Amino acid sequence: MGVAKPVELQSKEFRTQGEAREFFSAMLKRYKVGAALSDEDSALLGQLLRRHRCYDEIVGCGIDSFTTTIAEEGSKCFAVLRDDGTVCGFSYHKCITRAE
Amino acid sequence: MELFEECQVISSLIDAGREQAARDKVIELLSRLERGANGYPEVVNHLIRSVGLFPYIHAPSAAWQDRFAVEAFKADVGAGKRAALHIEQSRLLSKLLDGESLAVSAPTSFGKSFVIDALIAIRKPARVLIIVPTIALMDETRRRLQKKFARTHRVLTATSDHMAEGQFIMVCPQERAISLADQIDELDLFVVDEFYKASSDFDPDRSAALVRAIVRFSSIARQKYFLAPNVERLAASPLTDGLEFVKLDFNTVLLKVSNHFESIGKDEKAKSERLRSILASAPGKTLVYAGTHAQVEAVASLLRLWRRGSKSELLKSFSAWLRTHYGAAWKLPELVALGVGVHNGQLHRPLSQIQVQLFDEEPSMEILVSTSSIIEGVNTSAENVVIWSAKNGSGRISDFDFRNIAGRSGRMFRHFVGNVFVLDEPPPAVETQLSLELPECLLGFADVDGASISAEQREHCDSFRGDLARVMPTADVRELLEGRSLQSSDTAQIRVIAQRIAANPKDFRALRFLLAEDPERWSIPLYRVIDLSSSPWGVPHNEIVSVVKVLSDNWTSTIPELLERLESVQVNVDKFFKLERLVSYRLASLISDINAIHGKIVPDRGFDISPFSARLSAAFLPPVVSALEEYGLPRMICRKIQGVGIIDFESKELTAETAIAQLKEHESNIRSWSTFGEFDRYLLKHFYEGVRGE
Repeated sequence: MGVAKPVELQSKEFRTQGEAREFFSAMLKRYKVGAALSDEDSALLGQLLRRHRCYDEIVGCGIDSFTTTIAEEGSKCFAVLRDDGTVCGFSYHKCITRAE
Repeated sequence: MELFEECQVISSLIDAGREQAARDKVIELLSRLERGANGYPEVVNHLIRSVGLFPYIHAPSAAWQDRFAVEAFKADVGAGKRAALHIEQSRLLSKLLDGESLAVSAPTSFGKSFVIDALIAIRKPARVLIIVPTIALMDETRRRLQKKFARTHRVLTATSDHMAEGQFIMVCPQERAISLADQIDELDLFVVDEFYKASSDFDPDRSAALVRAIVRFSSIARQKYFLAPNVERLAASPLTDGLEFVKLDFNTVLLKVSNHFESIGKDEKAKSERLRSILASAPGKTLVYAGTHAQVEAVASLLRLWRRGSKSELLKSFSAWLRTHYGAAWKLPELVALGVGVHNGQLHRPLSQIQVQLFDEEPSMEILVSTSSIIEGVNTSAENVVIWSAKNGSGRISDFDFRNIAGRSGRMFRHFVGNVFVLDEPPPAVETQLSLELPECLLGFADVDGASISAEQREHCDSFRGDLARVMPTADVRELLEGRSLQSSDTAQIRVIAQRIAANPKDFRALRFLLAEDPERWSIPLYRVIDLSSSPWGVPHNEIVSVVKVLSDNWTSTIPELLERLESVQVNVDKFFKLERLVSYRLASLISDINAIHGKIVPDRGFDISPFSARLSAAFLPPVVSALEEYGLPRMICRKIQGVGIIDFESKELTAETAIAQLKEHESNIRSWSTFGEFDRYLLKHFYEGVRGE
């Protein structure tokens, strides 16, 4: 059995990556495509996004707000609505695992 | 039966006071009699007169007494023409000339609209508003009135810079009429065609807007004339105060209904075979009412199997034109080449118009397959109607709809008898009692303040206004509800928008991205706007968003090019029509309302997205090009004219009126251009005929 890998965010801690995945998967399900995330969820997602290896690229010119979009493969994902109106989707899995 | 015996039978029916039966027999007799150069036998002309069908009398072959009767029943029907009215038309006209306001129910073939023309020609009202239920009917009415009254009135279908000057006849659907309310202070004649649509039982989606228009314009109209088919009774209501209800059963054509549904039962193969034999044996043109898009497709598939290619060069060129401009994958070009047209409410307007025109005029266009769009009073000259399915988009059709569809067969002067073949079980016959009420969703709009409302309704108004006043200053509430900045006629929708914006104003900051040049930046605000609709869209939201973004190139790209870009979301040409209509009407109106309300709740927002909603409402075409499609001029032709450079459709100064004036000015030049193919020329001919007076 592998060792549990905790995911520590500024304001929330998950004992395992599985627990974090479950939490953000449930969050994603709560929102329709294009919807604005609540302040509370935005704050947590912002903390999670900092773990993404392409953080700077995703944020681009700056974050207007967090939302959801449809990824290229057709599934729903979290996204950053940038200050210039462009949208950049990202995988919360990659944030959790810090994968490329 | 010998002619003499038939005449005797008719005469006996008249003597027995059975006028309708006598009239039916006369019509049946006329359908069998070939009217040669010598006209009808004198006795037949006399019988025609006895049953009041004066327009059918052949004056040269009639006795002097009958000729005299025809003359007595002639009236000015516009453009200096005098034509005989039938006896009930004449009575109706007489009441209207006395200044009475009427709500009239009469069969489809009665000629109710003809009475409008006579009334305008004789009484010469200066300001006329005619509300019609669809853009298709708007254009048909406009064309008729333009021919007759272009010299005395400006026949308009949209706002004009010079509304207050001179005499006008405005023809438009209710939503457009509401938006013009501030520009019309008084009316001499207010006509509502198909006024039964003010009842939510008949048109749940648009009845409120019609009621709103009726309330608004009734208060400033000197005379009202409301028309409908097949209404038995009109319940008393404040909305119809001052209107006398007149129920007329006078028919000018005879319907022969043959029921096939009992022998067919559920056997689809037998139904198909029956359709095939009807089409093979019935003389003249046939309208097939298929009801839903799926059934239109089913009938079209059968016709593709059965029919041979038409020899008509015109249909061949139409088919080729459709392939060029809409892509080879579409099925309509193939059907047109087989002499079959398709009518539905979603096609680009010039396509619907031109198919109805071809069905009327081109011998080889023998069949028109239709959804419920044909119920709404599009006039065709079908000798036969086949009711393939007794359904429409939302379930089984009502008896009222069934009778309206059946009434599309037969036409005065063209087909005395209309044949109706019923292949699906019709709804049970019921008498239609119409009851017009002020719907709850209008309670709160300033337009209906003048209507007499109950204490409970007053409470509802106050509650709605109170809800708005909680999220914006009272003066702004008043301005919103009294002005024309809101397009919706649904207070529930307005309340949802206001409350959602007020609860999370920062979520709507993203609306500003709709002003970005790059359509990719529109996605998020579009999703948020779409989600604010209080009624379902009927299509996945991502399709709507994708179509809006792709449509931004509507003026610069061809439709096959746009479709190629929409392949990833599986939007084919039929869906494209539906979505283009959906976004340019419903979504554009919603965005406009959201913008107006957002501006009141967040006054310091620093942006205004009305330019976006205006562009969307024209489907990103230059607004004049979009307006000209209502006149039957397709965008492809405007694009060619733009390319040559003699008219700049993109100019902000250009209006539909000035564009038409310029198109008329360059008519001979434009129509002779070699850049136009055979069918382009046919379309131009159709357009020019519709903008000319006689």
